[in-house]
Amino acid sequence: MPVILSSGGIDSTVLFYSLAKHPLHHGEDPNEEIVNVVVDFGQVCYAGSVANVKYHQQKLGKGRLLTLNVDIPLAPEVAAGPIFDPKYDVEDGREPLESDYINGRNTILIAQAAALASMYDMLLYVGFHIEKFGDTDRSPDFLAVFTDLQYAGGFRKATIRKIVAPFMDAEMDKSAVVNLGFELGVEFDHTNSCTYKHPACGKCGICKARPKWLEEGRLCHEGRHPK
Amino acid sequence: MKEDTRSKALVLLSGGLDSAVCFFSAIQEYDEVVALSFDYGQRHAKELRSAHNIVEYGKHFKQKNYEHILQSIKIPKGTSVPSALTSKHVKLCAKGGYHNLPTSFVPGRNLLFLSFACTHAMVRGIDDVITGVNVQDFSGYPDCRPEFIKSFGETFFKATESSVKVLTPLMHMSKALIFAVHAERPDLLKFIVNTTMSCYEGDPKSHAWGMGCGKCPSCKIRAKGWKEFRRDQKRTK
Repeated sequence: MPVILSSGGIDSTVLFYSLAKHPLHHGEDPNEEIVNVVVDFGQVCYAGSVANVKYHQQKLGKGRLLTLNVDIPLAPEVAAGPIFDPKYDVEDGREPLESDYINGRNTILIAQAAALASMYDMLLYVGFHIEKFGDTDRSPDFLAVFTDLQYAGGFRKATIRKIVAPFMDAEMDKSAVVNLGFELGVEFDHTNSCTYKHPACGKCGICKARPKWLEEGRLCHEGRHPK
Repeated sequence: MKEDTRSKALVLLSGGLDSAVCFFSAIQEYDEVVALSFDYGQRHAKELRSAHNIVEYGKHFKQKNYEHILQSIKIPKGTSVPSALTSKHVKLCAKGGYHNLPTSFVPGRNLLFLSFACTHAMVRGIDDVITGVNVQDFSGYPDCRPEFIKSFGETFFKATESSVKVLTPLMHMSKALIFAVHAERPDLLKFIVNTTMSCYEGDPKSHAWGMGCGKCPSCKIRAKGWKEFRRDQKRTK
């Protein structure tokens, strides 16, 4: 049974469609249920993430939603920032990775999800791709050592061949993921990339980059490679 | 082990013997110490009460204030192989748990503990994270082995590029040696023996070696370690 760490964003949504529509391509049994795990760590966007995931589950008629509440230790300045404060007015061009990076978040989330996956003999899938945004805890190196760590920690061997990151394995960047999303019929209007708000703030660095990602993916999809 | 330049430490404090010994060593070696305990839905909460008492004694012992964080985490409970530490319906056995490990093994527990501990350390500017895990004990818990600690250190560094290090001062010590760490301070040793709770059942029955049912694997190890420690003490006198 595959379990996807889902945020309701572009990458995990495209991955859900790929697993739901082409399970055999991933070596998964078409009759197996897919579990979308959405983590609530107090972020403003949490409800929006759940709404997006539910929308796509309903559309595909597949997937079971599992929510995990995780109390992540936060630096005071991050805890008081726009990820967690719904009233915070996001400044134009604010970069989440520079101003609001949550140290250790992916380690904790993946540890939590991997423990869950292992207990139920599920494989953990993540939507990471090769685009470099500067966050070290989504790199191929990190995933590789994390796999070793699970083994050292006594997880059942069958469930730890790796944390499965199909887009990374296929060396896909963001536009390739969007392209695949178009092919699979993903409605990107029902995904959110904004770290801060749902609906998106429209002002942060990610919101400003998103139209470009979608445009590049669309051009790829139409066979016109972006410059 | 501790480097001279590192003045702050975070100690994982379960309320058991090993973590208490680490805590009292740390408050003597570091300028600042933070204790971290976990509420993970364990079989009994008595060890958390012990953890609280340990920190309070530490304040009195060093005349200093120490932050004590209680972190709630949810450890997934598998339907097929639940652990005896998180379910009263599971019998404590040396085999038959997850992956045929002891039923007291909680898969992913130390991985989650260390992930949270190192993250707490990072956000507080602490470089050393101290855990009382050791391989001498028993059971063959895979996530108490040096390989696991090393692998975790590599993974956390890859994830964060932080300078946080996980230290395991008791890793290769027998229980008798662990009892001996603070033997030069009889008052402290007495407090540790009488206050720490290692018993899986949380039984408060009092013995020379401390509280416990005397029957669970943890109590047996502790009682044996105490006996060896006392024998060694008599020999050296």
